[in-house]
Amino acid sequence: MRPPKDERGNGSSRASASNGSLIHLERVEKVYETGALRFRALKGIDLEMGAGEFVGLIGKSGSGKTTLVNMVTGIDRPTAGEVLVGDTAVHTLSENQMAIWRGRALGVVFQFFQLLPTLTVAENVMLPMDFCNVYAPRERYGKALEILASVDMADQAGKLPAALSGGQQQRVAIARALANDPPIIVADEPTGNLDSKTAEQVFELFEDLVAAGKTILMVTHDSDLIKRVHRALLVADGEIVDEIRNRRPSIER
Amino acid sequence: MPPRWRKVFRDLTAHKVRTLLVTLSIAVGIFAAAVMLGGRAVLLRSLETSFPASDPSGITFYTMPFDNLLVKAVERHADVVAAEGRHQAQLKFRLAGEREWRNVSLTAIEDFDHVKVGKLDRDPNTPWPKRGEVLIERASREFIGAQPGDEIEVKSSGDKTVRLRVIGFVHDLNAMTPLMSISGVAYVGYDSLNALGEAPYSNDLQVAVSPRLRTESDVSRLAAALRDDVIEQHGVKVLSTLPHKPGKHYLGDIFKGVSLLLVAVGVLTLLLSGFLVVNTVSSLVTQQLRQIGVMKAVGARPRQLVGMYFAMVLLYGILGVVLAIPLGAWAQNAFVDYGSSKLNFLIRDYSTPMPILALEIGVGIFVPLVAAAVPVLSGMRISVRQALYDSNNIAGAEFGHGIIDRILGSLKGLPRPIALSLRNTFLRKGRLALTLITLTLAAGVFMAVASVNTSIDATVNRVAAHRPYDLWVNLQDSKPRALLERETLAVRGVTGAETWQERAATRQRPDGTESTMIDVVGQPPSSDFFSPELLDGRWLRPDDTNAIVMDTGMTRAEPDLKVGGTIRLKIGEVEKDWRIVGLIRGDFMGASARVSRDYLDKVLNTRGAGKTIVVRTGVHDTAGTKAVADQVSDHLEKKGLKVTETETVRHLMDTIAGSLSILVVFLVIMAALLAAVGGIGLSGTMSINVMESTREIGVMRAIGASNGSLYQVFITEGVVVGLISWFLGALIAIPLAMGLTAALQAAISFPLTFAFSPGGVLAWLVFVIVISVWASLLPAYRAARVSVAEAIAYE
Repeated sequence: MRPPKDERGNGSSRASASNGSLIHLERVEKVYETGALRFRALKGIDLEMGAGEFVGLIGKSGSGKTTLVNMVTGIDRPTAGEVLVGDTAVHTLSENQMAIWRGRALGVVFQFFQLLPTLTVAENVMLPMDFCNVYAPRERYGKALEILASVDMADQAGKLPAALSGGQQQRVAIARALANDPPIIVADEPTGNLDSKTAEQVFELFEDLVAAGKTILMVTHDSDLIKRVHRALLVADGEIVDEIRNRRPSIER
Repeated sequence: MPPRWRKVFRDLTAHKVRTLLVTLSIAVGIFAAAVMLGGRAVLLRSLETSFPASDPSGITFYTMPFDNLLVKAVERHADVVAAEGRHQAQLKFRLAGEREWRNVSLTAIEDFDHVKVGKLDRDPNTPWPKRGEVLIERASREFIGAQPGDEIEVKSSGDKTVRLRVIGFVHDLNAMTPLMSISGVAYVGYDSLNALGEAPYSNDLQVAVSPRLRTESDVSRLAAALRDDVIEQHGVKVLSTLPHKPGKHYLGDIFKGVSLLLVAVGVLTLLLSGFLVVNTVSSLVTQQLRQIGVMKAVGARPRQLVGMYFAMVLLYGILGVVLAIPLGAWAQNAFVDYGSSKLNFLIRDYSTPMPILALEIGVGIFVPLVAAAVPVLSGMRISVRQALYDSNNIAGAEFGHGIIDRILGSLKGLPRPIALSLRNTFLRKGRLALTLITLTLAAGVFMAVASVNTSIDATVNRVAAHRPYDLWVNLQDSKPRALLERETLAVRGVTGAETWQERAATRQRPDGTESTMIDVVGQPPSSDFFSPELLDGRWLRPDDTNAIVMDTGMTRAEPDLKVGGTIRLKIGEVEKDWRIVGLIRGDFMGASARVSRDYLDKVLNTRGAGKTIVVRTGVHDTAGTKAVADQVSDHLEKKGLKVTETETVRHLMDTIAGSLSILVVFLVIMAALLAAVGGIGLSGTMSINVMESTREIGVMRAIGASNGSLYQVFITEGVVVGLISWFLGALIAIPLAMGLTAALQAAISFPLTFAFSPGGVLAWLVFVIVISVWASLLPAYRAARVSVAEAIAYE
């Protein structure tokens, strides 16, 4: 797979943070309150991720994995603590600032693909470019085809999502996450809804992206895949309780 | 086109039912505005331009013969703009071959080319009538029933039958329509008067007054001054004076009043249409929350999303406008045609006035945008996490917290599907509230409108109840009462007869002016041929002398009159003071008063003679009483008694009902619009509920729900909503009906007998059940076709 070119010169290699890490979470707490019920989903999480690192989050249902990635993407906000992504203190952004930042700095991939059903494959990929005004309008279709080619979906560009298989839809979702060439991809169980063969193909795509310099944080249930990430973090009851390092340490501590 | 705008367009075409519902919701509001506001504006514009252009008469004097010297003298008065003499004759006519004579008010005009007061409007190809020719007033076309080239037979004053050839139609904006006067209106030249047995002189003086005279009392004072200082000084006797409201057509105030009700209903329909749009747009946003979450996750800013959804609503608005403007214009024209034919307005310009058209377009575009503002803005404020992970629990789709939920939850013994329907109904309380407001208002106004209709019927019946007789006969000359009653009773089918003394009178006001005509009826105080509804004071007693009982028509025309006071009446040549002893409810026939027949005999020196006979018959239906009326007329004529009029009470009631029919038609249009709004509202809500319940449908399917069970769940839900709105509607209908009836009686200046319509309540019950079942049927059918896999995967 060929990673897309960085048109603006601030793509995959862009990495900076207060202490040299790309993603920095410090004492992040998340408490949900529903009526009289109070639930601590995250209990003072500390996390550092370096540029180009591929980190997997594992844990049982309800352990807090999704809540943790949502802190990084800004989809959810911490009750306490700090979330820094690059130079950005994500937890301090307004909704509008968050949207602008997220569109350029992050690509998000969901378990259920979440493609917009009334837009074609190419249009789904062009949508983030449109929202963030990345690339000139005339260039966007070409860029979308380029990105779709990188996930082997260029020949499906004109189809609606309903005409694609689950694996194909997830490839398109990954292409959409790459649309604005963000340095970071956050994926919440991207293979959870796929058969094992398709899941393998999709995971290979993520490996290619890491090889091309992207930083990836991925939630997964699949214990086989854990062996192929740089680092796997085990989340239980809102805390990171264990860490498995596979190939390379991401951050020099 | 950027993908986000493509999404906006594709969402419109991908969800056709939703697009149709939103478009219809918007269109029904614009349609109502077009018919009610546009129709009213076109009719008013026509009246406001054509009325002054007709140089309307400010005062009409009916007099003994006069010549042009008098006309010139009147014209010299500073407050008179123009004056014109005409000849007015109330005659009988029939078409060739017809047996029955009908009334025609024949106006002779000396110089058609130089009409100065009350101009006539004719087709340029229609000539003015020559000797033996007649022009028919446009509104009398149907009543007279003759076409150009036909001949009508007119019974002259000398009892000769004269044939007049119809040469065309003419429009006289100021002529009474047959609906109101039960008489046709036609015009001849002075050279036809001799043949008709009428002397070629003027007996009708029309006076156009200066615009300086702004009030009715200014005009009345001028009328009194002209009568006393000019007309009678010329030795011409004034029989009656009719001052008109300056600058106002005789139907203008009534039309404006009644049409304000239309405006109220138009605005209400618009408001309800706004509620429908709020409902559909908020559910649209709810359905799209997950997509909104995704778009936010890939970088959409709130402002961009708000722009997209407002653009979608704008497109709905444009679709609504495109659908409603032509349909509304068509309905507006039909409405204007109907209204103008009843009111005798000539419509030259059917175009919707620009402000109204701008309002329709503005309403079509802006009402949806305003209605969508709250759901769109609040939808966009939802966080990405809520949109992606909690969208099923947003928009109030929570059950179990409120009092109603707990009551419904604690209901025992209900079959599960029914319990599910009941609880589903209250699942989305915000939407339920808006649907209920829309349906309840529609129900309430529909029932109120039905009650106005019932009140009109009740009023007509009340007028009939005041007249416990079947027909009356007027003779040309007064004859001894004993003779008239004996001859009338001799006719087969007649069960009772009584002779009354009926005279036209005017009130001589303390300030020297005189009132319009008052009908004074002398009858035996103990007569069982009249059944008055006493409102104040007392009824006549056998020993009464100058006691008079006035009706509400009199107090309306002369508001200073009170029971216990006196009134000076001029009856024929006789001026006399009368003691007002009582007040009775009047009918539609203007001002009238009742006095003792014997005393009136003395005052007028008529010595037991009369010319009005009221008759009771053995049959009471329209045809039966008409047949007896003809026999009475024939019999009296055979006996040498000249009959000028026979009229049945049944026909009078039909005529009154006919003159009110325009109101009934207006009311039916309002009711139909409201029913449409209610139907679209409930259909929309049910479709949306089913769409949002797709996942639940899948679960129900998975645990064994049959098609029948699904139908039952959704249809019950629809019917429950319908029934709640019906009940609430019936509650608000009573005050609404009273308000509407009060507004209407103020507009038509006639007291209506309020009667709440249980029929309207029942009709809406049937309608709401039918519409609930219908509105739920299609969604339920769609629900039953959803497979478990589809339903569970529904996003």
